[in-house]
Amino acid sequence: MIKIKNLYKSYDNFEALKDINLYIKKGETIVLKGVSGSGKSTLLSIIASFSKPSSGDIIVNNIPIAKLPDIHSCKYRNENIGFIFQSFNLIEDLSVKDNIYAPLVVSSIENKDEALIKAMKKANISHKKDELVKNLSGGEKQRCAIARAIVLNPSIIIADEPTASLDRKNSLDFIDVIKEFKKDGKTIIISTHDTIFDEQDYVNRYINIQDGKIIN
Amino acid sequence: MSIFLSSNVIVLLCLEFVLFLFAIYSLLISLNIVKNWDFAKTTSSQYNLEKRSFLVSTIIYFTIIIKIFLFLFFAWTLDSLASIVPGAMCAAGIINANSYGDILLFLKIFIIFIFTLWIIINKLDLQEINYPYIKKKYLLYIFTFLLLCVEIVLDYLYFSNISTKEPVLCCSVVFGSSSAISSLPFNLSISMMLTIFYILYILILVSNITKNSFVSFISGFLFLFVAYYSVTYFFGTYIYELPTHKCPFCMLQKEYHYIGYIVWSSLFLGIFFSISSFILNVIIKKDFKFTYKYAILFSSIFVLLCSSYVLVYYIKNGVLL
Amino acid sequence: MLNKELFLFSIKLLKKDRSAHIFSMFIFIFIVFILASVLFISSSIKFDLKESISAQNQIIIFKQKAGIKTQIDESYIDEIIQITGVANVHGKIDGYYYFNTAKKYLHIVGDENIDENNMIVGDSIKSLLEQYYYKDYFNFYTNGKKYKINIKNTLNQNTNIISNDIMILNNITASEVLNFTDDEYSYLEVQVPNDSEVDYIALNIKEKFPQLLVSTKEQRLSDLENLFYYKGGIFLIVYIVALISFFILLYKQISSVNSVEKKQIAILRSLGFSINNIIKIKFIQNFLVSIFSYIFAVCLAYIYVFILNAPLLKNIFVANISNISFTPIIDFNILIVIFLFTVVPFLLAIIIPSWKSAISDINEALK
Repeated sequence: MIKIKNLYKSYDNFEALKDINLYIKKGETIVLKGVSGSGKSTLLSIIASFSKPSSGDIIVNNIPIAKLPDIHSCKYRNENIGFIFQSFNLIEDLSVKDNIYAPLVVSSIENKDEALIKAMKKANISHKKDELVKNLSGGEKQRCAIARAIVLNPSIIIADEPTASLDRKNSLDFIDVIKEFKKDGKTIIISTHDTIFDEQDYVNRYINIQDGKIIN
Repeated sequence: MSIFLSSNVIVLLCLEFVLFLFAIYSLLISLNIVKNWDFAKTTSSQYNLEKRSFLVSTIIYFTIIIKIFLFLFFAWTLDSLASIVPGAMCAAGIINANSYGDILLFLKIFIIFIFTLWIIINKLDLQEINYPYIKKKYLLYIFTFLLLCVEIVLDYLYFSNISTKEPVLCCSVVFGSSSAISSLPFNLSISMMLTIFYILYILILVSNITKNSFVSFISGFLFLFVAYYSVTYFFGTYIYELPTHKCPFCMLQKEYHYIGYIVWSSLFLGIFFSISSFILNVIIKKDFKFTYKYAILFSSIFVLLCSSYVLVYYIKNGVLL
Repeated sequence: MLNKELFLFSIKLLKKDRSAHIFSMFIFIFIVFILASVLFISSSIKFDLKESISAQNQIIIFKQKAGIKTQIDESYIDEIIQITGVANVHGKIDGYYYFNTAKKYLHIVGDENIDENNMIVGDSIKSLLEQYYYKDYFNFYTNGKKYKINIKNTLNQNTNIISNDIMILNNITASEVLNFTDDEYSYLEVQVPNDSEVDYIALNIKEKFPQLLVSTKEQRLSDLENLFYYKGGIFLIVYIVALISFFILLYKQISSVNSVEKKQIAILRSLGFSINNIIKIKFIQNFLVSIFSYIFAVCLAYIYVFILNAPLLKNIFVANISNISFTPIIDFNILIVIFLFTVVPFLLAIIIPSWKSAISDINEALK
């Protein structure tokens, strides 16, 4: 569950987010819509604790993350957030297996190898586990990124423009994956321009952001 | 011929100097933190301070590892200098080559002790979500920095005043096996001193089992001095198997299988943990089980090791020295 | 503090980023190699000299005139031999003969066990003489007289750095060649069977004959150590200057983190790697690089000095000797000194760059 109250974020003299108030229930699927520069990515990066707000409160899964010190915010991010980037952000010269294993390196869970195998199976990328990421196709990279995001079974999945680098078929595959996540009870936040997400029944809410403010 | 041109001494002094430069840099950051830290603020300068505190802790972690290593190397160097300084047979002669030696040795140990405390406090500070001990931590560092200044000056003064021409005293003169007057403080006899030695050890054990940090602190502090004299004037003679050989340093040499390093390090660790429980209590008002545990462990290793030399000698020879 | 998985992961990343470390590794290996070679050579020479001194008799006596060593005459022997504790006193011939044609000084040592017309020479002397067509004998010219001495034997080059450079002649011949009179010697050797009496006897002799320079074996060993500390020290100071420039270079190189590396770090941070984790990874990687380079460079130096006999570098230490073989001596102390002088500063140099790359903004790098 995500509770955001009076959130402001400014860079130098530019206000990226103004007075954001938002409540996202556990298990909800949210789609964030807005033009480039509207503040979608900033909001997502704050929820994922990549950056800290200038003021306001944000409580995720009962953890106030606004002012968490680095060690704690990294632990929070590792255990609670699975982030899927637009350009996948995989380490190209490592294998699929090593990329998916990366979050496990700093986690404190017990059966790391089991978690790895489970994630690869779920994302349907086990057959490519020893392949270097740079040799994969776009869809395979997407699946690798998905596996990495779910390997620690986080309760929140954040996807920033997930289908921007994919063709139609892979985009539809991605939607199937989202539906699976929803079935598993995960909270999903997708930021996108892609119309493929419009008017879908698996989406609980559509939120529009413009000039750093939520408008609907 | 200056002692500075021994390659060991050059390495030692260069590294101490470089570490000192890093310490100055850390000092500047520490002063900034002590002055401007405000966890409630969300300004970028506050976040920068948080990031800089990571740099200081990294520097300090690295410094203490090097300092421990350098301290062992310092002991080794003193021993090796014995071959070029006339009259010296072991580090005892070199340490007493001038008046700075004793203080320098004690200061080096004390600095390592304080840094270790700092690391413990740092670890505890990072475990909390609002850096509760940060200002105290950096005040402690500033205090340590002053000690580092003294250390570097003493390093220079000490090494520059070791003459390779004038003979120094060797341990038999320094520790007075040939002197008629007792060299023990308060004119104690050996048996009295040993009684106090074992009593203090039991006191350390009991206070750490019952988790009484104040008694542990007092007994640990006293034990340091009593143990030093006991090892030099009694237990050492059983290590050397010679009643007239009274020296705390000769046991660091090869012929005694370098046992000196184990004897002294177990003593220092035992004392460190005995004393630190009280100090941590004072600074961060919390109790830590591990300090009690390790105080018992290391002081016991020390006492058992020393006592075993006496026991083994008695079993082998049927008499005591 | 350090978990096994982070360690293994750091190695994986290191293997992948090999090329980024190659340049610094190469320079580092070179620096360590030079330092190690120089220290190996000097300690080997020191060891040989120490052995020579240890093989000598307990007390050596020189006569001094105006502070300069000069020939000592026989008359002292009778007086000194009477001191209790002295077993024997021998006069020794030891000097340099100027070989005009080659413009070189030859080190002559007298020995009573060798025949009048023969001599034993060291390996490098043999080669020198052969250069001037003296194959089986050599002519000494002193005071208008010619002394033809046959080369009976050659000392193996592997014996000792000192003996390489020596010509051992019969005592009387040596004395004549060096233009000594019958009762003159270069120095006197005093045999003292009881070690603990040496200092006392030396003092005794010094008191009796204040104009003589009396040196005990212990003093000579100590002087030798001092000499080596001196030479070693000068070198190290010069070396430090070179080292500083290297580390500035290294610092610049590591600081210039390229965008690919920045992105990689940002990716790891986004997955939950803390600033401390990133710093640890950098440390592990650089530690492995430096340790490996250190071991490699030390082995290389060992081969260079003790197997190839240090071509080029040995001329800094030993002039005039063409064939030389260094006695393989590996001192634990030297290895520690090299380690402290190279690996530790290397790691110190990477603290700040590692921290800088660890704290960089995640969002910026991931865009």
